[in-house]
Amino acid sequence: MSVAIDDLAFLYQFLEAAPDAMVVVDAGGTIRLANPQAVDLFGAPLAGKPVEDLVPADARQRHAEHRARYEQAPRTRTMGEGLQLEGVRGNGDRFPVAISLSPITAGGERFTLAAVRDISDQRRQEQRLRESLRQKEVLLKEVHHRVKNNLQIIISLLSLQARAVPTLAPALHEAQARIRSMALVHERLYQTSDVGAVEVAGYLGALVDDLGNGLPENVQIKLDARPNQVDTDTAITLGLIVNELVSNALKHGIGGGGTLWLDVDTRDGIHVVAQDDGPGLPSDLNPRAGPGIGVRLVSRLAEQLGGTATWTSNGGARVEVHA
Amino acid sequence: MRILVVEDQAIVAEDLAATIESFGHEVDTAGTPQRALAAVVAAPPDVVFMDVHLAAGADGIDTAVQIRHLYPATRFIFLTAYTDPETRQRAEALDPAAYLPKPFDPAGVEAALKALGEPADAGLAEDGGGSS
Repeated sequence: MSVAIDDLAFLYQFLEAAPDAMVVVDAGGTIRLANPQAVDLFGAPLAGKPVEDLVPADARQRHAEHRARYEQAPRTRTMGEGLQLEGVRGNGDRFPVAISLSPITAGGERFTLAAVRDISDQRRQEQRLRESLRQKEVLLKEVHHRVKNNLQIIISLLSLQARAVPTLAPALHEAQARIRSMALVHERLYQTSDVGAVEVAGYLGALVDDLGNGLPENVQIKLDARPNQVDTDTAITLGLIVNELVSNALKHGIGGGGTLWLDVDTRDGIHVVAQDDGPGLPSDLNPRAGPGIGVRLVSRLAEQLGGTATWTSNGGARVEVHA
Repeated sequence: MRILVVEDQAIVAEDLAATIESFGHEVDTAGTPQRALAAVVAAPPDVVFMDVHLAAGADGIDTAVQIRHLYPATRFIFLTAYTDPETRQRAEALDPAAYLPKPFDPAGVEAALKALGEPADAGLAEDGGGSS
C-alpha cells in the first residue's frame, strides 16, 4: 500500500512528531527529509545525502542492491527480516537498528519512508538474558553431576557392605539397581534440549540394557517404549517401576529362560504393560503385602503417579500400570 | 594387568579397586594428580582409570596428558559423572580405551578391561558394554 501526500513539507510536520527517527528517501537513494530524531540518532545532518551513508561501509554495496530490488516492488515491511542490521553515526560509531519501510507518494513523486529505531538497549538486554540463562544451565548441569557423584558414593558404600557381609549381598545389589535407575535419569537429562525433561524411550532403553547386562541368551527382555519427553520426577518413578518389573520377572518368572515384553506409552497418561512367558503368579499374591518388596514398590509407585497396578496370570505373569 | 585408579572419593576408589581386583588385576589407587604421577613413576601401570574432576579443582584429563608424556604406552579408561560432549571431546584427544559414566556398573568395567586384554585389532570397548 502506498500513501499519497500533497507535498513533503506537509509530511515533515508529521515526521517531527513521530517517536522514531524517520527519513524519506527518493527513488535515486537520496535522503530528502529527516526528522530531528533521525538527525540526533545519526549525529549529522542527513537531507541531501545518499541513504547508504547511514549504513556501515562494508554493507553499502549490499544495501544499494536491496534498495534497487525494493524499488521494483515497494511495500510496507520490516527491513532485513532475521538479519542483524546496523546503522553508522556521523562519527563512525556503529549501532544495531530495526527498520520499517513504507512506500509513499508526495507531490506525485514516489518515496520510501524509513523508520529507524536504535535497538542497542534491547540487544544488551538480550545478551544479559542469554548470559544469565547460560549460567543457570551450567549450574544446573553441575547439580546433576554432583547428584550422580553422590549416587556413586551411595552405590559404592553398598558394594563395600555387600563384600563385607556376603549374606546381605543380594538385597544390597537390588538396592544398587534401584539407585542406578535414578542416576540414569540424571545422565539422560543432558540429552534433550530441555534440561528438565527426559526422553522416555532412550532412558528406558538404556535402563533395560543395563538390567539385561550379563543375562544368558535364553533370557530376553523386549522393550517397546514410544518416544516422548517427561519431567524428571515422572522419569524417576517410571524407571523405578520398570526396574522392579524386570527384577521381579528375572527372579520369579523367566530367570531360567523366557522372555519379558515391556510396553511403555507415556503420550496420554502413563501406561506400562509387562508380560512374561514364565510360570505365572502365585495364586495368593497380595500386591499390598508382598511377598517381596518389589511388588509392593510397584503398587506404591503406581499410586504416586496417580494410577494403579494390577497383576494377572495368563500363561505367564502380566503386570499393568495405568496412570 | 597393573592398574592405577585415580579417584578423589575414597569410598568410590575403594569400591572400584575391589571391583577391578575381583577381575584378577593388580590395583593401586591415588586420590590426587601428584600421587597419581608418583605412583606412575614408581610402578608404571598398563591402564589408568581416571576420574575427570578431582579434588581442589584438579583436572583428570590434564593429569592423563602428563602421564601419557611420561609413559606413552599407558592406556586410559575415564570414569566420570561428566559425560557432556565438551568434556568427552577433551578426553577423546587421549584416545581412551573407554569412557564410563558414573555410577559405574561392574559389568561395564569388566567389559572395558576385557577389551583391553584382547588383540589391538579387536576394537575399543564401547562405553562399558551397555553400562549405566
